[in-house]
Amino acid sequence: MLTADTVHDGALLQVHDFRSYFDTPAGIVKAVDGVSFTLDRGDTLGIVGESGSGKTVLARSVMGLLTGKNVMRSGSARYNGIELVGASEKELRDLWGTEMAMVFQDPMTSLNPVLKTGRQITEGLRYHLQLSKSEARAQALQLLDSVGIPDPKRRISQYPHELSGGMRQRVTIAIALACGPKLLLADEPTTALDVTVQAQILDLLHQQQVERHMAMVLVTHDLGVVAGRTNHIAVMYAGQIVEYAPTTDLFANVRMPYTQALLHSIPKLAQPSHTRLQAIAGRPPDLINPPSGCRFAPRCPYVQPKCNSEMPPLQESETPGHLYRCWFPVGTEAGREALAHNTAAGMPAAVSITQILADPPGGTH
Amino acid sequence: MTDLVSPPDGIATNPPPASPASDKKIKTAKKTGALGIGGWIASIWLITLTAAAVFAPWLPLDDPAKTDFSVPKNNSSPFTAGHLLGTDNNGYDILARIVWGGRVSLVVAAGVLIIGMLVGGTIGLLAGFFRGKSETLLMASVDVFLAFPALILLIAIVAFLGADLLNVVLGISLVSIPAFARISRATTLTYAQREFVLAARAAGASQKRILVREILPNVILPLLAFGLLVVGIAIVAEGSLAFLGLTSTETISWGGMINGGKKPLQQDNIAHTAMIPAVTMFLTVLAVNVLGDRFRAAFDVKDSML
Repeated sequence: MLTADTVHDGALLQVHDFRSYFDTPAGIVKAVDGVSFTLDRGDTLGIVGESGSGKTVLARSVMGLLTGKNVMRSGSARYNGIELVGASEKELRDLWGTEMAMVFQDPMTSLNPVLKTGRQITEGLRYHLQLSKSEARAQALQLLDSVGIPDPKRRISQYPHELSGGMRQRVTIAIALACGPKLLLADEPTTALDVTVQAQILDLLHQQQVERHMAMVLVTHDLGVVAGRTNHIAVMYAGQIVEYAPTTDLFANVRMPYTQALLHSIPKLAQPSHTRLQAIAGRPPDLINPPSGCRFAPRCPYVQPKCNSEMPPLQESETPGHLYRCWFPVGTEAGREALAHNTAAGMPAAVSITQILADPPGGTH
Repeated sequence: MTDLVSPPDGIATNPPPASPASDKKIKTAKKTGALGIGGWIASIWLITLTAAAVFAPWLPLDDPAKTDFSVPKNNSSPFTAGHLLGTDNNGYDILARIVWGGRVSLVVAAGVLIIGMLVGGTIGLLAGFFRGKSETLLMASVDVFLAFPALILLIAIVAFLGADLLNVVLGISLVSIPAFARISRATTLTYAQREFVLAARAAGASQKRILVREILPNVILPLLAFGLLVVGIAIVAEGSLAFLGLTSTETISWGGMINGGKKPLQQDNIAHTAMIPAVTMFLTVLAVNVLGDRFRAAFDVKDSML
């Protein structure tokens, strides 16, 4: 067994130039293509992107859960110094559950329909921690209580279909937390839930994270979800990280046009009613043959000839730790010129962005 | 729920008041539970039959192998003195032979259910979970048996191995294995793709643990429901073999009794010797099918509520 506690090099999870490709009959799908990030103990990283940007694949393949014969992983993902890429299923299994755990998107399908909730929680406790039946039950009751389930004594002997969606997600969180992982990967934990329950679940995750001094990767398509609850945000597009920054800095100084477009596509309370949402026109690129230049270029309001031919590197802005992947970043002279040029040429995306920037709906942004 | 504020006129409030008819329906459904009235009758019939078969040696029955020639024509009709269901042309007490014949049906049903489900279910579970080469190999070997017509294969097996009860059970089990394997594989395939399996892996469960603890409980329910249908088929199959005279004549079985009643029916127009075992078999198979159906419906609820 790999002993995780012997190695301490600061960061808990170090992902470097990580790639996850799928070999399909149509070609090789580059679902995750050269992603690097570092997650410190107790910190939260938000991974944001639209559907198909590779965020779920990133979370699952970093953990090593994708084991199909057509999955190709390369690069490096080190958990507490242990290399996860290339580790055997058996070595990974020693980490799963006890060191790292995952909360899934849909609590309707991530719980076993024919097993009582109690049994699903005690399963891991008895297996990993070798607790006796009664000890595991006591622990499960305590866990259910800590994730805010009222009357745990009754709930523990109920089946998943007897619980509401929010309660089921609380149960999956309890299962994930059962063996005290140091890293929690939450894969769109609130997407399948009612809006009123979303905030509760996010608060619960945050509270548990603080109590347990646990690091968390929060995968979501909603910038609003990660805004107040993360230390860093990585914006993903077409399998790459296009912007990576401390949360406050990202919202204050957006550099990447894609992030800007994402921000403008969220409705704001200050906007007058019936304001049209700024959708991002077009679709994410084909990941089998991605564009050779910047992958966002076909949809970007700032696009210039250079963008279509050369892929921009991930470069650091004047704020340390703020990385972005753009030739004509937002908020710089080059970016302003590019946008003005496109607006003058009558490019619809550029025109609408220019309008919003000139006359921010409902005040400043 | 009570409305604190009464809605203005002309605005429909929902839900509409429940009609007395639907109320009644809910009540009966609650009273009889998932089984329904048919299910209850079926279970009572099966329980009575099973109890009688199990306790046959201790019941106040005539010796099924003892002939009673005191009755006229050896073919006395039901409700004659001393013989509730009458006697057959050999002077045997029909009630006693029905009960003892039930023992054979019970053994066949239980044996086929256990062997078929264990072997077929395991094959399907492994094939559906591990996929790849093992799946091709397992399912191909099972499919070979599907290529033969079941009854012909069964007759061949019994003819080849000999006609005692054990071989009959083995033969019918062998014929039922492909169906069990296919159902088990199909169910395993759907459940193996579910997210809770991935969640269990992410929690560090081994392949074996996932198979036994996560997938098996989901597969066993449809398999059991199908098993009840197979029980009906097995009883009929044993009856067919006995009717065709392919089982040991020493064994008292319903199929054999129907066969024995053939002659009185055709030559002397006496129906009860053939009809009583036939009706018993019919009712038993019907009861098993009704129960199987009810169980399937009851288990489906859980899935549909998800």
